[in-house]
Amino acid sequence: MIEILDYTKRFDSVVALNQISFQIQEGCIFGLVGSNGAGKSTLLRSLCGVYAADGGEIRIDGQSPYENPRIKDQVVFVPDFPYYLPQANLRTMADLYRRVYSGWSKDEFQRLCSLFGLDQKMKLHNMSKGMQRQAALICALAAQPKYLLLDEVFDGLDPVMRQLLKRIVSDQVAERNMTVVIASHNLRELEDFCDHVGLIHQGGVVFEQELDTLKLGIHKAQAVFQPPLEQQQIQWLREQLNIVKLDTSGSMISLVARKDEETVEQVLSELHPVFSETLPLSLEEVFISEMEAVGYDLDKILS
Amino acid sequence: MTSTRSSRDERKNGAFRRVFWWQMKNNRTFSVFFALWVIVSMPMFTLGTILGNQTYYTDMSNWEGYTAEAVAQFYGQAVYYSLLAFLRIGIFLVLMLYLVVICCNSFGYMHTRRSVDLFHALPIRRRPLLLGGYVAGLVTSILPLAIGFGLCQAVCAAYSIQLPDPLRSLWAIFGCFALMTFACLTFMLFFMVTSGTLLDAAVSLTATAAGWPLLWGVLNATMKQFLPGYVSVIPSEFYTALCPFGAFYEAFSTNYTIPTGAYYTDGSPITADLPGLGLVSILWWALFTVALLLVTVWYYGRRKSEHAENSFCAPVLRGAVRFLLSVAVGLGLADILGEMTDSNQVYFISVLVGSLGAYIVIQVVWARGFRRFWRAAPAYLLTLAACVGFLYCLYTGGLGYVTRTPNMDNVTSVSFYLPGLAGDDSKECYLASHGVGALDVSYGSYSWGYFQVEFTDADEQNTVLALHQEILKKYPGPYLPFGDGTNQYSLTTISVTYTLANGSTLERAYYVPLYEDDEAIFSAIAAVQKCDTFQLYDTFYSMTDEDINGLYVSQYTSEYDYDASNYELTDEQKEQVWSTFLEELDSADFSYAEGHDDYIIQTASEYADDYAELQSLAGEKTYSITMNDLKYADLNAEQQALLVQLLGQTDAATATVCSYGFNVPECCEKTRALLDELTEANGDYYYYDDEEDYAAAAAVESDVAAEGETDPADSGAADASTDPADGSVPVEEGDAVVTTIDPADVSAVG
Repeated sequence: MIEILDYTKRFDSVVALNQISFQIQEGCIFGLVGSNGAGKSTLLRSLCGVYAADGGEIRIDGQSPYENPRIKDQVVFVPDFPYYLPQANLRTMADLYRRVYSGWSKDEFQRLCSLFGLDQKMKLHNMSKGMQRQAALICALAAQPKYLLLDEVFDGLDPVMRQLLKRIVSDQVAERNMTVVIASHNLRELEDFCDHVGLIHQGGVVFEQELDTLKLGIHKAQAVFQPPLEQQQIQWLREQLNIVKLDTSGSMISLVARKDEETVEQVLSELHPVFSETLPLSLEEVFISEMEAVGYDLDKILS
Repeated sequence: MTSTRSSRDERKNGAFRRVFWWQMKNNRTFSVFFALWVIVSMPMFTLGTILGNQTYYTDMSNWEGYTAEAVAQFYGQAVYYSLLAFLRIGIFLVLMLYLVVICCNSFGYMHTRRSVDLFHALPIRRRPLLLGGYVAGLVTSILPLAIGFGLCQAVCAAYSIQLPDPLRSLWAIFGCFALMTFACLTFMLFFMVTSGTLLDAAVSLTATAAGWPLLWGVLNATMKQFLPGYVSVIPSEFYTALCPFGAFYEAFSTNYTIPTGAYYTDGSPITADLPGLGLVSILWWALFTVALLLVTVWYYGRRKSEHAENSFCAPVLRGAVRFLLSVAVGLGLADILGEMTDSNQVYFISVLVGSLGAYIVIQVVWARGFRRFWRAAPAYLLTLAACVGFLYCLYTGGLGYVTRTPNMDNVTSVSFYLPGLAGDDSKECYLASHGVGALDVSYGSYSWGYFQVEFTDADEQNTVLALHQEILKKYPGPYLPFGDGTNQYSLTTISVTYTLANGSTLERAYYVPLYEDDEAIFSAIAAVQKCDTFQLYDTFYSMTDEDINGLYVSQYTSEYDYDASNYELTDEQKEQVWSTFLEELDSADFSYAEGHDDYIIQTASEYADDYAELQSLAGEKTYSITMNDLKYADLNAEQQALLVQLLGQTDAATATVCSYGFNVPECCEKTRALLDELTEANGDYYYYDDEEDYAAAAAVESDVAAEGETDPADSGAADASTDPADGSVPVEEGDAVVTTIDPADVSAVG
């Protein structure tokens, strides 16, 4: 289990992560989402022991990963831009991983190379971005870690490779109870892959929840009222539905509420709408709504 | 769930071994090329040198007069010195290049974030990660060298080449290579670890390695400019104390003379010069490198991963480098411009401008622009304050350095050194500039050396102290580097060294601007010259009957020295000339001025060897052999060895008391009139300077003898001889005088 307790990381005067706390259970696939510069990559680097804490602590299986080879032996990090040794090919990198990771499996390495269809002798610097990422994943997965940390792993992968990656990772989670933490902006990919998700913004955690619970707990609704709602009625709606976002356009009202579908429909019906419809949010919509809720000015960005 | 993990990471040093072998593999291409170059080129070069010199050194007809043992030693030395030259270029430079490549390849990952992501996420602690690569670099550097040196030794053994003391030659050099490779690699690693980018590492390393010697050189020059009497006490090793590359290279140019165990036919020992590090340097580099390695490893354990690509990591070190260069450039520029303009204003403005300019440049390079520029301004003020404080300290006399003289109760001996004196027309100046400690060392070249006179008698020591105190009166302070219209480097040199009871020394060297009205100083100098000990070291006071018997006269008929005519005198005439000259020298009317003098009384024949100037000895070396020790007698082996050591020459075949000339100034009217008379009567003579002249002279002499027209006895030449084979030099003059001067008279040693 990964425990993050009041963890703070600073870069000179910039606070990248500010006293964040949450847990990641074993065997889950944890999606880490957030705006650019929110601190996702910093958190992943902290989890794999690259960065030392400036406050609080990170515990993996009860121990800090920083300068802890025993823990780091079970954690493999695939960064957003994987580094390869000069003039290295896949075999060269495999040789490095083989020497340092006790869980390294040559058979698994061969199997993954076959699955991804990569030439082991080809210079990695001559490969495309997607192929380089596949090479990094092959090395990471062949090390058979207990914790796999992936940063923007879907970037550069074609849809087939994305599905293949998801399948392989899911299999390993199922077989070995591997824990995966994946940071990505590609929320659609995360949506059908993760079972937990955490949203980081400006160095803090906005929420961290099981994905299903998250999606069941927030809904969007559209309703038409004749005559249009009074301000008092709108205020009443806000109080009843824990509204994240609300727009009115004439007699039509659109809202996002942190309530289950049944409650939303019930509250709206009490105002006798001419028409109403309640829908679950996609992860992307949840992201946008929550970001707006914490002051992420989408209108300004999109205008 | 069953663990699939092995326990290898739990083993002691397991991580270190894994990194070590991985780095060995990672660097294998460079390492193989380097090893091949060293292992092949060293023995091949040795073999080539052996074979190339074989004919010359095995044909004894080239070595008439030498024992076979001596020739074998020379052969060994020829091979050894050739190999040394190859090591200096072919191995040293390649080794340095290899270390740079190894450093970049093994530790370059620290300077990019992507590579740090990989290496610092690996399940290896940082210290074994660093040390594994470091030791791999050391092994791949030193192991090929050991093999190369071993092969050279084997090749020499196969051809029975007698290297000069094998244990202290080749293996000593290998030891030097190993130690300094250790030092250089550690030095590079330190800057790799303490820098955020490769450029910063390169800049910091270069700035430290070049800035440190520069700083101390400049500080030394500054103190010399400000402080009258300043003598540097900074040992040469100090200048390269933070520059292992310089110390490494310097080790090849610093020689230590050792006896080879072989002897010349006359029984004198054959020596060889071995390069290497002195004991102090060995200890320093061993301890410094170990300490630096410990600091580096400790720092790397604390080094944040985010320092990669960050120019501002290790700000303390960067600040130290910036301070070092700013001070060195500021004072150095001021020294140059002050010297050019002889202006103190220019000097002090240059300190400000130079240090500020250097500071800005370093800061801009470091920050890649003007980021944090003003934040660094207080540090510059600190640098400037340090410069001002230092210069103020010098301005006020260097904390009493200038005026300090010892309590004579604590002084055991005083050394005094007066290599040349000019300033007035007194007898003292005349003798000081013509007679003191003249030594001619024949080394296929011509050189002047001066004796440092050592006084042990208390009264004589006080006489020197009185002179010292008189000199100090010329420097009342405050002290400024320029602007007094004099150049401290081109004046009369007077050096005094007090050896104190506790073994320490107090040394001062003055470059005194003496003028005719400096009567007090001239009196003090005259008092020193009258000391018995001083006169032991002076050619003039050491004149004996044999010297006077060897007198002859040179007359210069033009302003060019080489147009001299030499005149031989009879014994009676020599006695007469010398006594007349002494009488006038001692008279109150004696007056001497530098310039062309048409008459010179020579004390002995000059050699006709191919003399050439060797200025480096003047003022650099001191001797403790009195003139009486040297005169008219072969030096014993111990004296010769001492002289060889003091002169820094390795095969000085002869050391000869200089044939010395006393100019006859115009005030010596009686002497000049006498010389006019005698030279008119005797005519001129010449000496022979090559074998053809010897042969021709022998033939002429033979003819003359046969005709009975000349008789050496009649001419008054006591040691007349016509046989060049016995080493004597025949001299002849026109139709009047034929005589010889025996080389024994000039004390040949060899």
